[in-house]
Amino acid sequence: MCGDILKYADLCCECSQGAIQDEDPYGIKLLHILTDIHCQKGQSVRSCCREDSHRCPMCQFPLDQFKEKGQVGCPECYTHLCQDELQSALQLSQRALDHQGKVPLTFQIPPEATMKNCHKIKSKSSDNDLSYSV
Amino acid sequence: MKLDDFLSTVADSCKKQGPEQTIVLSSRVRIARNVKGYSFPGWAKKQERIRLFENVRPVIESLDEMKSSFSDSMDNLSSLEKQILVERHLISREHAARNSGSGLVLNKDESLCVMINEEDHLRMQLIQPGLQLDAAWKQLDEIDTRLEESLPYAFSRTLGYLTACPTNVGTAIRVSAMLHLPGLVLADQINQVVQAVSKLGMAVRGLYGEGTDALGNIFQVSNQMTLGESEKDIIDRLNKVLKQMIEHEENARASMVEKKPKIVLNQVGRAYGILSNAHSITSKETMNLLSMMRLGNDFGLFSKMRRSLVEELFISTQPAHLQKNVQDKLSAEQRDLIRADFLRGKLRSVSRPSDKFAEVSSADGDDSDPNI
Repeated sequence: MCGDILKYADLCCECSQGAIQDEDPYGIKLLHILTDIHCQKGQSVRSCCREDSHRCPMCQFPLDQFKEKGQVGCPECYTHLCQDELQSALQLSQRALDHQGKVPLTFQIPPEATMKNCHKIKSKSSDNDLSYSV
Repeated sequence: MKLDDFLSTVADSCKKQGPEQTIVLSSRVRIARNVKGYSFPGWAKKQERIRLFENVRPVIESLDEMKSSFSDSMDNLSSLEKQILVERHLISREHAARNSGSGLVLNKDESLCVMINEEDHLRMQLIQPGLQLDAAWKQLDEIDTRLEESLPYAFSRTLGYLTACPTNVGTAIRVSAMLHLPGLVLADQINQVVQAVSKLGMAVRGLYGEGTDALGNIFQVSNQMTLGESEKDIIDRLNKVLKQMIEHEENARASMVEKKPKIVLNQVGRAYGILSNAHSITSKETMNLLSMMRLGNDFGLFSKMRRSLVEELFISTQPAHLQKNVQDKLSAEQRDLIRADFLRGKLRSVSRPSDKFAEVSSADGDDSDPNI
């Protein structure tokens, strides 16, 4: 959507950002929405958020302030702000880059659930094998 | 309830006993937690901070551990009350500078304190006397687990608990112990030990944490890194470092008594002399001399003095604690006079240190300089 005109285009990630930047009169908002959708599909945020990674879309915290004070604005900044900056800050101050230790209960995968998933996958694959053989 | 009515007397708060208390004054475990959907306090607008404070405060107050607790917003506390909390190590200096939208909940025995909207939404700390890091973590972990049932924490599977500063992400745990190390200072070994400890990924700071001096030969040792290592591993590693530091301190003390007993007697005797006779004394000088009296007490030089008296004087002679008993605002000079009066009064019942090492030192010719 660009003004009143609806345009269709098959664009790659890089080109879509350029196109939106060039033509979207409302600027970054649409880019945010699209990059968010894109990121949710599994693409890393790092590769598709180059332009808007200077400000957190959730809290509007500017990257410059992180560079200046070493703190971020909200938990979402860890996902949306420029990952290179954050990574290098973490590399400088931390032992490793993966969390070890306590995990809140809501983030824990119950062992029964994992087992259930395994059974599901197993039964699905055996069904597939069966259909293939038939 | 007013803070002054809630807080135990300094004497009572110093009576608590713990393992390794000759050298380890206290152990502290602090964790940072943030609530999903809110900006961190440093970036949040005042209204957002107030909203978070109002949502979180009743949850903290409802904890079993917080029965009969003290709870208030920082803007209801006077600057003197805030300073008293800092001097008792119950809140950080940074938190004392905060006002509306920030607050604290402190349990009855003053071992558990939750700062709301400090650098992070929640900073919970548990303090135990002596070396008790494992026990402190166990207790704090249980409290945290109960809180997470009501508060949706900001957490990432990769980065762990998310905090305002990336230096705290992961476990978001800061484990520290307050050590009294006069032996290493007198033996001039403290810098070597501090350097070695720093290389092991630990930070060594002064009495009131980051950017403060090691007054009274008191050092705070804590973990620096929070990501990539579990809470248990961090605590185990710090425990190992602390045990080594305790051993070094004990060796330094033993070596001093054996090789230069006059230095110990001289330092302790002078400390007692000045503290019990001075008519004006600064906070810094008081702390350093009290450290020597504590050392003397550890060597058994004060026959009837309880160790908690020195701990009590460490806190009671701090500026806000002196100011609390006086109506008018004191200048630094006036405080020095009142401090000296207070110390003379308190030490009146303490008899002068014995010259236990006198016979040993007569054969030692190296102790001719009384100013060492």
